[in-house]
Amino acid sequence: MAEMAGPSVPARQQLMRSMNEQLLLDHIRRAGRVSRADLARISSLSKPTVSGVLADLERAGLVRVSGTRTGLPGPAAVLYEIRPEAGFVLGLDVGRKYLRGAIGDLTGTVRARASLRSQAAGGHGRVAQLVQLAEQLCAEVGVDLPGITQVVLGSPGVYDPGRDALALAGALTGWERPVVLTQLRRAFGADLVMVNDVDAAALAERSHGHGRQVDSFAFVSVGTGIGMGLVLGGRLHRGAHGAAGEIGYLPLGHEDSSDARDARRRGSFEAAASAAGIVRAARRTGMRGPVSARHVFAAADKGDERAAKVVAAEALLVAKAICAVVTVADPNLVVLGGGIGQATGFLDAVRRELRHLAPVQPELRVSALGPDAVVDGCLAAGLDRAWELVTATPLPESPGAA
Amino acid sequence: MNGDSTAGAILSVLFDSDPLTRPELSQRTRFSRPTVAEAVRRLLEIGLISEAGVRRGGLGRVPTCYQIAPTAGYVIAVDIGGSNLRIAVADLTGTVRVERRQATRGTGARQVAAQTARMIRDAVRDTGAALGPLRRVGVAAPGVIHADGRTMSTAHNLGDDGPFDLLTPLEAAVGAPVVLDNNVNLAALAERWRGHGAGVTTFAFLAVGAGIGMGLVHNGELLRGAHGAAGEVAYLPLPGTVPHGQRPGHGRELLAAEAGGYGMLAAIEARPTWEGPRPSTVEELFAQSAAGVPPARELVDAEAHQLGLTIASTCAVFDPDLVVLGGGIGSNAQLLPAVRRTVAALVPFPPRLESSALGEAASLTGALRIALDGAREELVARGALGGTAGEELPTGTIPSPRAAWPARLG
Repeated sequence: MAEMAGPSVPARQQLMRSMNEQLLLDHIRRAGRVSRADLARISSLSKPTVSGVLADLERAGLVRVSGTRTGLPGPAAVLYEIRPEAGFVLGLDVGRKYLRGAIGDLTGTVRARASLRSQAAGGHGRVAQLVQLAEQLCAEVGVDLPGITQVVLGSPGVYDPGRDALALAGALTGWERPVVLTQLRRAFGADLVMVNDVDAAALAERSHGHGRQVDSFAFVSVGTGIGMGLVLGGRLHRGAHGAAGEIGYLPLGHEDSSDARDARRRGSFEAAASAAGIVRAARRTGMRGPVSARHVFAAADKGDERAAKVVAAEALLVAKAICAVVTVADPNLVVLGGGIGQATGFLDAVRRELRHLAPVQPELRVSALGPDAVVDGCLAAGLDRAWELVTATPLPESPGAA
Repeated sequence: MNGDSTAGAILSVLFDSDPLTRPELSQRTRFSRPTVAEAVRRLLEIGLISEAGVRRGGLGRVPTCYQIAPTAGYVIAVDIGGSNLRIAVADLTGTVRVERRQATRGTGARQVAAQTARMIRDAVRDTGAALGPLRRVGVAAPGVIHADGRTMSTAHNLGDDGPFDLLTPLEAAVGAPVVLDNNVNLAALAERWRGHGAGVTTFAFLAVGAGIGMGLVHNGELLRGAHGAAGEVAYLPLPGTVPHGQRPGHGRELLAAEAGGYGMLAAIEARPTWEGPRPSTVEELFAQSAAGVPPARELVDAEAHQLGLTIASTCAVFDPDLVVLGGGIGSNAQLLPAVRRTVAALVPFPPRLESSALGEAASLTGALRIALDGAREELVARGALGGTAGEELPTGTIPSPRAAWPARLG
């Protein structure tokens, strides 16, 4: 996650809630719904102290009463919970064909989702469409854009602090120009956070997918582009330049499947194994007509020998990339995603090749996440930051306070 | 009990410090002066610290300084290599007192382990009581160490694919705990301790000797991987390499497929003709290349290109700040310019590239580091309870965090 906040760190981050307020907020967040007496017990604070802090938190709109617990001896206990509207996260996925977005509240519930077909030919138009999408989502939830606690942008590429611009985002025309970042900050605030789109999908995989149970995994996405999100020790590994997982640049393409110019532009493995590489390989076998990667996979399924050869070569290439990931980082699990990665039967073909290549075999699985994976990963990344921002905000001074 | 934790804190400060006075120790450990005074008395009594004289030049009373006692104990570090066995004896401050090497004799892990055990026994005998008791032995092993912390596999350059119990013969040689780790991992640790990796949290150490391997440091810790295979870059499916499942032979023959010394010798053999005398060692090859002999230059350039591809692959996956080239062949500075060219052509954000600052001593230095860590941790944990010179320490396995390596590799 690249924090592109620049010089203007909001003053609110420097002020802290009182220790007791933070302590109770954390307990309430963990417990979900909890009574005053239970809070006093788990926090070791006195009941009068708990009552006082709860009243302050309720007045600040951070917690709310969510009903009563009955059925136990004694009077019915009032239950408190985090007020979901105390904070909102906006996640945006900048794809080549679609722009997707969602707003989640502070409890992680998604309140609105939407997507737009990308009409933009350049950076300026794309930013305008993102704003349009954000405003549509905000209207649905009933907040205004400045009322969003944290905006997280999932985009191809990495943040290059040297140029203060995005880099390695070649698939999106005009997206690497520094002015794009200026416009994005103007629209979404200086504390906008950018996450590489495949890293965001890996975060979604960690929160909702196959990555929940393991310490380390790689999410490998193979489609129109190629990328990887690497989670080590439960945390996203971004690398020294934010370029960890840019496996498109693995030196794996072989001469006859690659295109030299494309390889220089986006890396030799990506040029050979992405959808464009498959189309080139199919043309070389003599397939004619409107060929697409989808078409090649469908033809292979129907028994077309030329297409089957292309798919087999693709499986070998992807297996080599996974082998490279294993020999460097050796994760527990590799999750395959993307249009090609999720194609029926493809994983088994990759697994057969990997057996001959890798010194150890990671668990291999196909991603079960849909097209909202990047947005969901952005929300997951933003939620923790939103929580920090909200709980670090000082309470409005109560009347009569010193 | 408080006295023990105070003693432990005093020891951990003094291990890495010049001699200190009691007020200074109190300040550093944040224990009160009377508590420190009592712990110092106990540590003097059991011989773990000693007076280092007095410090003159200040005002007022002349204070006594304390240091780790020269007889508080020592550690031994061993590096088992395919051509050489190295050993170092160091005191608990990490100062090396004796360093020796001998040629690796015999073939197979069993014979090499026996030679290593003799070398350790000789070092213990020659050290005598001068440094106090032997506290720990750290061993850099040329293969994969299993999760049990005692079994080694794929020690190709000993001519042994294993698995082999390396710990038992070494433990039998000495009355102190022995701890093993892979030589490349230890070289990476050493580079972080006393080399280019100091202060760098994410870097890779590419070791090129008989074969090739990589140690990765992630957030300051060794990255071992889910199956202990992190950094096994000999298995990278680079253009022109044979998939590991199809590599012919066993033991040292397997190394010929890697971008290391055996691979370079095989490449010399594979050339039908050679201008002038054909080099019989890698050193001769480098010398001929430096003198401009065309086939030698081609082979050295090809080697550098292969290492560049290995580093480019590492960057695509892991994106380190720094890559250190080490090992007998990798630390040869002749390789660096061509490696840099390949990396710059393939990696969008290239890392810093350096030749190892430690050269051939890297793995030995790493073995010293883990021996010191183990010895110090134990003394700190025991505080003033134990540590009398000459006492018996329990021997046993130090559990290794390395995960199990599948037997089929062996």
